Amino acid sequence: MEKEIFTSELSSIAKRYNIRVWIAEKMGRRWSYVVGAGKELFLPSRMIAKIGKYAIFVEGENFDREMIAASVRKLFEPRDFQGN
Amino acid sequence: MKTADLSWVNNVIKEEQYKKYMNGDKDFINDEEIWEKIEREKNPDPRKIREIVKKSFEIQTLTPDETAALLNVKDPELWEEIYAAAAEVKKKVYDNRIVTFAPLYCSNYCVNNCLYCGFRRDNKEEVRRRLTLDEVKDETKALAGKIGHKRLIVVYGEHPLSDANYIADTIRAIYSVKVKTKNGYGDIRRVNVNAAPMSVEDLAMLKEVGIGTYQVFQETYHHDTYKQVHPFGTLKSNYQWRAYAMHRAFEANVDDVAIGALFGLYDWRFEVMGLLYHARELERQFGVGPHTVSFPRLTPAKNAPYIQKTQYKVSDEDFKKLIAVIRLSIPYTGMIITAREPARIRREVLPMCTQTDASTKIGIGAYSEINGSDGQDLAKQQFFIGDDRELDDVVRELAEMGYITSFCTAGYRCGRTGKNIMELLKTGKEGNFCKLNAILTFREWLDDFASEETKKVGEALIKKEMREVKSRTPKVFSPQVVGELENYYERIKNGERDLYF
Ligand code: SF4
Repeated sequence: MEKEIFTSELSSIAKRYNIRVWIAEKMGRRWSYVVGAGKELFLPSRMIAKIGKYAIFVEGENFDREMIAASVRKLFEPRDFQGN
Repeated sequence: MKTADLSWVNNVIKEEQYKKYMNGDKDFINDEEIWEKIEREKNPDPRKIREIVKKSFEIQTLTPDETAALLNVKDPELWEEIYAAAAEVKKKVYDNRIVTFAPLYCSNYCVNNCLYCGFRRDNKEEVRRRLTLDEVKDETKALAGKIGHKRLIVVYGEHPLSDANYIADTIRAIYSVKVKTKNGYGDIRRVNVNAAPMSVEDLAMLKEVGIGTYQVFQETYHHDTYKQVHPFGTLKSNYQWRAYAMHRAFEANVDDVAIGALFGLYDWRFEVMGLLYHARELERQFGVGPHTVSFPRLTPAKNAPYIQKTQYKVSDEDFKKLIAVIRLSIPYTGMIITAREPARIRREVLPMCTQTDASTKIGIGAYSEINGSDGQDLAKQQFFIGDDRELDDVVRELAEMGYITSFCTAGYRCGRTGKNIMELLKTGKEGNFCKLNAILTFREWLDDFASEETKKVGEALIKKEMREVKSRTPKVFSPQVVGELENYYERIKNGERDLYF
């Protein structure tokens, strides 16, 4: 994962939906933080999707799971870093 | 030592994995520099001390000069101010919760010969045991099903019989246990590990199976003393392999690391400085400091005569001072006061600490009484413990003192770990999570394990905690947070488990 790219993309997603969003990696029975963004709201976290060994966690009020999951999933798609 | 053991020993240390962090032949502890700083800061001006304390309130790691100044305070009244400030800093970062855990000793085979330890290989009277995986599960059932612990620190001697593969197997075995309790179920949700320094590859394997905090104590940061108490030729005699264990852990992507010193081997002020340098080194290299710091005092152990020889035994008064200085020097870190200490000392220093153990047994197989009731035979363990009270008694006493016992492992349920939790700690935000999760996990424990007497005291405390949460609305917690808390609380009362913020 290219952390810098993820951080900036997750920041815009967090702003757009007014949430905190992060990606964690499954380690045995537990989850380990990888990268995330957004203001802390102290709400319970919800796992909204799994992508291989990773999962997307969100904290927020009345958020649209599907939309956010779709936006984050896109980050996992292979892309061309030449700017095209 | 057997030939097979010897060949294992010869393959443990990977020089290239620590030398790359060193500056030539220098590691991050410079003994002369530490003493120079301690000497230079003699008789610090009280105004300067109060300025330093202010910096701790901002949750900023102190510089070695600042810590040296604190260590040199002589005025008893100023010390009282320091203790009060240390307790305030703890409250600011972690609120009034105390996390509890239990040690689980899996194996006492050891290839080393540390002069202060009951497991040393020359202690022929030590009964050597390594738990089978079924026995590990039995121990876990007792800890999670009868006592109600949710987190463990699992302890292993350094030996081919308890290598990284065995450690990984035991972690898996512990996580696999789920036991029916009075009103729900019990399980261990966080397995912290206290084991020998390992290679990046071994640590990566432990990361895969879900290791919690990886804990290695340097024992003493003073190079000459280190050499003296860890006999030449033993694995542990390599100071740098140990000192850079946490660097390798971060390289292996382990989220949380824990450091510590065994107080009594050398001058306590030097060791506090060593811990600070270690924390600063980790912050500099990885942007993350130690998740916890431990400060066990040397206690007697069978056939480990070093305690009689040392001139550095730490008095109760100095012990309190060193805890306060660590608290202020590394303000974000968790601090562990264990059952090595008698109850009266634990009470005294608890306001500055974040974690403690209870119902502690350090014999191999002692929780499930594998060896009958002498599994806790004090002559057959690593050291002598000072406080053998049951968790129920400790929880009740804490509640009476106004502290809520937390069984929270929320960070590990949703990936609030490593850099993420460090940021929350440094900005004083994690304490808010601590408050909410302490209430929920305390409720769980009261319903499943508490005696009637403890339940009564605990319920009163929960009411007070709930009122406090509400009083922080809407400034800290939104009304929705309070709503979620009440909803989770009711669900837990109805038998649901493992709900968290
Ligand atoms: S302190 Fe650790 S390494 Fe040393 S003898 Fe004891 S168990 Fe072995």
